[in-house]
Amino acid sequence: VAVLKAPRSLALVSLLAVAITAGGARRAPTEREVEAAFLCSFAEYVEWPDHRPEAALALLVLGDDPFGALLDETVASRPQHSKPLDVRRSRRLEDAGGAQIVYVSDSEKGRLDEVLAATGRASILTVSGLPGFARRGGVVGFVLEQRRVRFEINQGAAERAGLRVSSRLLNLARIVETAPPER
Amino acid sequence: MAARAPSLRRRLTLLSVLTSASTLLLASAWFTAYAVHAYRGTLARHLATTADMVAFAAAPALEFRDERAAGEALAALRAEPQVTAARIYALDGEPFASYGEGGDARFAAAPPAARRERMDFWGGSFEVTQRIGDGRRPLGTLYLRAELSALRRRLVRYAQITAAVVSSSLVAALAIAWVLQREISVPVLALVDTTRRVAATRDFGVRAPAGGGGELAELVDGFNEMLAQVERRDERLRAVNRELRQRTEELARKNEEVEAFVYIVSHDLRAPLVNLQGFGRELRLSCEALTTLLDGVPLAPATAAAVRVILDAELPDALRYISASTAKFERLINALLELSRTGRRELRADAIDMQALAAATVDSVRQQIERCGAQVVVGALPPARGDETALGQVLGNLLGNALRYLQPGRPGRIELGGERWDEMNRYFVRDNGVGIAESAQRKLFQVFQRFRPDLADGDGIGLATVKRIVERHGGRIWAESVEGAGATFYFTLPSAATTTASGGAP
Repeated sequence: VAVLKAPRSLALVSLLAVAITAGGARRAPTEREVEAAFLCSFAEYVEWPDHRPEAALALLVLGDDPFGALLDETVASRPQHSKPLDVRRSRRLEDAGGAQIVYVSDSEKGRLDEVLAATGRASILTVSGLPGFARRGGVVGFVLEQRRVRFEINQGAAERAGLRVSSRLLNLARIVETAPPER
Repeated sequence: MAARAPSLRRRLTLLSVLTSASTLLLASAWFTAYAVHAYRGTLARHLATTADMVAFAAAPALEFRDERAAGEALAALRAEPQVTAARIYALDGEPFASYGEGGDARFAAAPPAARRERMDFWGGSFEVTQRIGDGRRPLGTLYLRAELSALRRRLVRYAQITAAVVSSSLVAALAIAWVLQREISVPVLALVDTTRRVAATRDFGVRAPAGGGGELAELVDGFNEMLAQVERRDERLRAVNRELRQRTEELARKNEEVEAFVYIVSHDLRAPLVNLQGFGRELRLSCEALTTLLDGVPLAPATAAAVRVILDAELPDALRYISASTAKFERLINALLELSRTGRRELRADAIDMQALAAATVDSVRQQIERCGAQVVVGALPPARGDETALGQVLGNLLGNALRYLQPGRPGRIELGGERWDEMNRYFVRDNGVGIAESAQRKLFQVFQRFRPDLADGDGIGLATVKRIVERHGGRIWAESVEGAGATFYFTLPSAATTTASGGAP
C-alpha cells in the first residue's frame, strides 16, 4: 500500500507545484487593462441606429491617451469574430462626430459639459472614467467597486443618443439617471 | 395414471411457461434498453438546452469579469436537480465561476471548448461541454455534470416492474398452461393407458377413448383402428391355429394307422413266410431222405439217370431259390418292421459323443472294410444330443452304403466328420465311390428306391430309415454327389449344448 501511495502523493505535490507556478505567473490585470478590455467589449452589446454591421466602428480616445499601446494590443487580442474597431486618438472635439465610441479622457474634465453637449445629440457611445460621468449625461462611466472596475450606464442618455444597449449589458451595469449638476 | 402423468404434463407446461418467460424477459430487456436510450437522448437534449441558456446568460458576465453575475447565471441551474456541478472557464482556460461541486479541484482544468457530450453510465454521470460566446464570438467554456441517479432509480423501478410483471405473468402462464396442456396430455395419456392395458391383458378389444382434436383425434382413431385390425387378425390366427391343430392331430392319427398297418402287414406276412421256410426245410430233408432211399433201389439205367437229375440238380436248385427268396423276404419284412419301429419308438435326448460313436461304428464293420481294402478316416465330430442307438443306426447305414458303393478298381476312401452349422451340428460321410446320378438324388430317401442293384443288394429301406431318424431328431439330411467321383451325405443334429429334446412329430 505504501509503495502504491508514493507515486500518488508525488503526483499531488507536482500538481500543487504547477498550480502555484501558474498562479504566480498570472498577475491580476491592472485597472487600465480592464478598462481597455471593457471599452472594446461594449461594442458587442450596443447597436448604432445608422451603422452597417460589417463596417468598422470608430473608437476615439478624446484628450490625453491614458492607454497608449495597451488599447491597440487589446483590440488586437480580442476574441475572434468581434466587431472590427478602428482606434483613433484626437484632442479636437470636432473629431468626435465621426466616431461611434468616444472615450473621454481624464484630461477633458474641464470641458466635460462641452464635450457632452457635442456628443449627446449624435449616436455616440460615450465612455469615461471621470467620476459621475454617467450622471452628468455620459452613457457609460467606469467606477471602482471594491477595487474592481465596474460601470454605470445612463439609460436615458443612451436612448437620447439613439443607441440600443443590450439588456444583458444593462444587467451587469449600475443603472443611473442624469442628475442636475451639483453646483 | 397420476404416478406417471408428470412427464408429459410437466413438459408441456414447462414448454409454455418457458416460452412466455423468455418472451417477457426479452421484451423487458428491449424495453429497458430503449428506455435507457430514450432517457439518454432526453437528458442530452435537456442538458444541451440548459447549457445553452446558462452559456448565453453567462457570456456578458464572463466578458466583463463579473463573477457575481456569472454565479447568478449558474444559479439558474438550481432548477435542474440532477446537475450537480458546473463551471465556467475563461477563454484562456482559467476557471471563472463554479456551481455545486464545480469548484472541486478535479474540475480545475478546462475541458475542450468544442461542443461535447459524454455519458458515463457506470460512473453515473453525464457531462456536457458548451462553448460560451455571443454568436460566433468565443468567450469561454461551460462545463455541466449531471448525475444519473434518476436514471438509476428509473432502472431499478423498471427492474422491479419487470420482476413483478414477469413473475405474475409466469404464475398466470403456469395456470393457463396447466389448463391448456390437458387438451393434449389427456388424450395422449389415455392412449398410453390403453396401450399398457392391451400389453398387460392381451385384450385387443380395448379401445382408447376418443378425445382431443385434429391430429390427436386422428392418432386415437388410427390407434383404435389398428387395435381392431390386430383383434381381427388375432381371431383369424386363432381359428387357423385351431384348424392346424385339428389337421395335425388327424395327420398323426393317420400316420399311426399307416405305421400300424405296416406293422400288422409285416407281422402277418411273417407267419406264411415262416411256414414257407419251415416246409422248405422239410422238403429238403424229404429230398435227402428220398435220395438215400433210392440208393438201394435198382432202377432202369435211363430212369435212374432221370431220377438222379431230378433229385440231385432240379429239386435242390428249386429248393435253393425258395430259400433265397424267403430269406430276402424275411430281410424285407424285418427292415419294414424296423422302419415302423423307428417311427414309433420313443427317442432319448442324451448328449452323444459322436466321435466315439463313429469310431465304434467303424469298428463294427472292420471286416467288411478290410475286405474292400478301403481307408476310413474319422475326423472331429462334435457331440450331439439324441438317441444313441438310432444315431448309431444312421452312421452304420451311411457307412455301409459308402462301403457298398465304392468304385471297383479304385482304392476306397471314406471320411466321417462334423462341424458346428448355424444352431445345429452338421455331420458328413464322404466317399469316393460311384456317386449318385442326378436323376436319382431326388428319390434317394424314399422307401423301396434302389440304385445300382448291379453293385450291391439292398432292401431300399435303409436311407428312408436314416431320414426318418434324422428328422425325428429335428435335423435334415441331404446328399451331394458328382456321379463317378463320390458322394457326400450330410445330416444335421442338435448340438449337445442344446437342452431341448428332439423327437418331433414323426
